[in-house]
Amino acid sequence: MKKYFVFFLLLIISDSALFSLQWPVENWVLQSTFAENRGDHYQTGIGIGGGEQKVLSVADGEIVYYQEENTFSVLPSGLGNYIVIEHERQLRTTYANLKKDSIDIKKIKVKAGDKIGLIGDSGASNGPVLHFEVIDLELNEIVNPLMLLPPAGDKTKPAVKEVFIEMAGSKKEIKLSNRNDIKAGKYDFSAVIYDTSEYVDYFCQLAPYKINVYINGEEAAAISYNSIKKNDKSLVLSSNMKKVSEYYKNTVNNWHIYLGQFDISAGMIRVEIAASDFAGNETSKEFLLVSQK
Amino acid sequence: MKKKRKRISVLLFLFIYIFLAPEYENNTLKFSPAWVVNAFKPELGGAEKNSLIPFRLGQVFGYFDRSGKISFIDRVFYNTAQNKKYFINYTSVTENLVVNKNDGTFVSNLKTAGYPYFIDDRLFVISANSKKISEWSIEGENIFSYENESEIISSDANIDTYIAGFVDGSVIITDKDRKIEKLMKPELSRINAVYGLAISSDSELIAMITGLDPQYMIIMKKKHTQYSRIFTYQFNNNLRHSRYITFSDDNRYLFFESENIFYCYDFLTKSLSSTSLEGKISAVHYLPDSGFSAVKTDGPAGQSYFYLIYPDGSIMYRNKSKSGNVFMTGSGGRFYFGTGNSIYSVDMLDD
Repeated sequence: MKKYFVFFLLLIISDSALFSLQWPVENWVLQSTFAENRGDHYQTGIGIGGGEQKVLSVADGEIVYYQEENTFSVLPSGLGNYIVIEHERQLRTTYANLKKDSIDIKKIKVKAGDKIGLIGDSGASNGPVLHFEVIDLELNEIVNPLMLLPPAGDKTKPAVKEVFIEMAGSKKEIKLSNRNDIKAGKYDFSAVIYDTSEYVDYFCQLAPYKINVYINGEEAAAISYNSIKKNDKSLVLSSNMKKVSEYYKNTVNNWHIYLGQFDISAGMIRVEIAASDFAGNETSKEFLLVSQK
Repeated sequence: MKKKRKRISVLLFLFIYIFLAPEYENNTLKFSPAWVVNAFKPELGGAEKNSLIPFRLGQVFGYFDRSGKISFIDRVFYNTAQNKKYFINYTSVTENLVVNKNDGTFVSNLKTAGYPYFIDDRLFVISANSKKISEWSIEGENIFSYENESEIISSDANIDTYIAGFVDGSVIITDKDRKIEKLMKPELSRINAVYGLAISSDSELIAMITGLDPQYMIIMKKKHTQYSRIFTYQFNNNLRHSRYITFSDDNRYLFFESENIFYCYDFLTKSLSSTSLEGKISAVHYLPDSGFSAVKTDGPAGQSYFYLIYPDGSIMYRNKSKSGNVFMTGSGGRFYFGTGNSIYSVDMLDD
C-alpha cells in the first residue's frame, strides 16, 4: 500500500513539474503555433481562439508591464492591449491582443487562474485571439508555450508535401519524385511542411514541432521548435540557428521550409523526411536518389 | 452659406472662451485666440506648404499651416505615422506600408510589415510582435534592424543616435552609422524593465525610467565612449506602463512624470523640481520653441485639466475642460489645440 502511495506522489510531483503552467483560457482553440512564418519575424508565441472569454494568469506572478489605450503609448504596437507577468525563476508570460478596457490590474500580484483581461482584437489580428508568449529570462530564450502547458490532445498528423533539392550554387530547384537521377554533390534540401488543426472546422495550417531528415537511415538533421533566441541582431530558431528569412524559403508559400545542406555521394541514397507535431503525431515521406559522379 | 460659416466660427470662439477660460498662474503672459477651423469639413488649399503642422483628431488626420489653412485631410485606416513632411496611413494587419508626402502623393513602399513611427525626420518600424525594430529611409531603404527576445516599450532618437528600451530591462544604442554601439542593463531594481527613455540632441545625455522595487529615473552622461550614471532619483511608487520623459531642445532641462506629478530636472542648477497636478497625467507635449510643456490630466469624474508648465516646473496656465484636448502642439509663441472636430490656435502675448 505504501509503495502505491509513493508512486502516486511521485506521479503528482513529476506531472506538476512538467506542466507548471495552466492554460490562459478555459475553452481554448489553438489557432497558431510557435515559430510560424510571419514574413519578417517568427510567431514567438501561440494564438488561442475560442471566442471572447476571460484571460487567466497561467501561474502565480507579478504584473511587470501593461499597455492599453489610456496609458502613455509612446510606440505603436501590433500587440494591442497587453500584459507581461513575471513568475518564478524569471519566467515571463505575455498576454496580448486583449479586449479594449478589459485589462485588470487591480491586483499587481496575481495567482494562477486570476482573471487579467478578456480575449479581444486590439492588435494585429483578424478577429478575437489571444497571443500568448513565454520568455525565459535566465536562458534568454523565447520558449514554445506548448512545452509548459498541459497537453493539447491533438490527433491529426502533419503534412509533408513537396520536397525540393537544389545543387549548391545552381539556383535550380528539383522537385523530388519517388526516384530521382541526379549528380553527386552538395544539395540544399527544402520541403513544404505544416501541421493541420483539429480544433477548427476550416482549413488551418499550423507549424509542426519537429522535422527530421534521414539519409540512408542515419539522422542528418533534427529541427525542433522548442525555443527561439537572439543571435547577433536577429532572433533565430535555437535548433538550427536560422533566421526566419533563411528558414522559410519565401513569404508567398508560408510553409516552404529550408532543411539543410547535405552531401549526396554517388550511389543509391534513401532520403526520409519526417515531421511530427507537439502531440507526437508523425508523417514521413521517402525518396530515392540515384546519384552519379 | 458664408454667413452660416461665420456664425459657426463665432460660436466656436465662444466655446473656446467658455471651456478654456484661462486661470493664469503667472500674470506676465496672456492668451489671445487667433483662429478656429473645422478640421472635418475644411476648405482645402492656400496653405503655406513649407511649414505644415501635422494633426490627428479621432479618425481624421491631416496638415494645417500657421494661419489655420488646412492643406490635406484623410481618414485613418487603423493608425497613422506622421511628421511634418510625410505620413503613412496603415491598417491593423500591416503588410503594406506606403510612405506619402504631406499632400498625399506617393513616395515609396516599405518592404516590411509592422507599425511605423517617426521621430522628427527618422522613420522606424516595429514588428507586429514588438520584438524587432528597424529604421527605413523615406525612399524605402532599410538602414538597420535589431531583434530582441522581449518587447520594445520605450525609445528616442536624435539626428545621429537611436535608443530603445525593452521589457527585459535592456537598452540598445545605435551610433550615427546606425551600428549598435552599446548594450546595457541598469539592473538596479528587483525587477528590470525600461519604461521611458530620452536622449539629448547632442547624444551626451541619456535618461531613463527603469525597474520595479524600487523604480528609478536615472541620468547618464557620455564619458569618452561609455555612458555612466550621474544622477539617480528614486520614485516612491512603481508604475508599470510606458512613461513620458524628454529633454528640452537646448538640453538644459529634463521633463518626466509620475501619475499626478510633473518633474523637471535643471542641468544648470542641478536641481529637481516637482509640481503636483490635479488628476492623473495622461498626455504631455513639449513645445520646442517656447520651452513650455503642455500637460493634460484626467480626473476621477471624467474631468480633464489642461496645463501649460514653464521649463522650471512652475504652472503658467491651468484650465478645466469637460471635452478634453485630443491634440496639442505649438511653435513660435502660438499654440494649437484640437478637440472634437475643431483645431484652434491661441497666441501667447506679453501682458
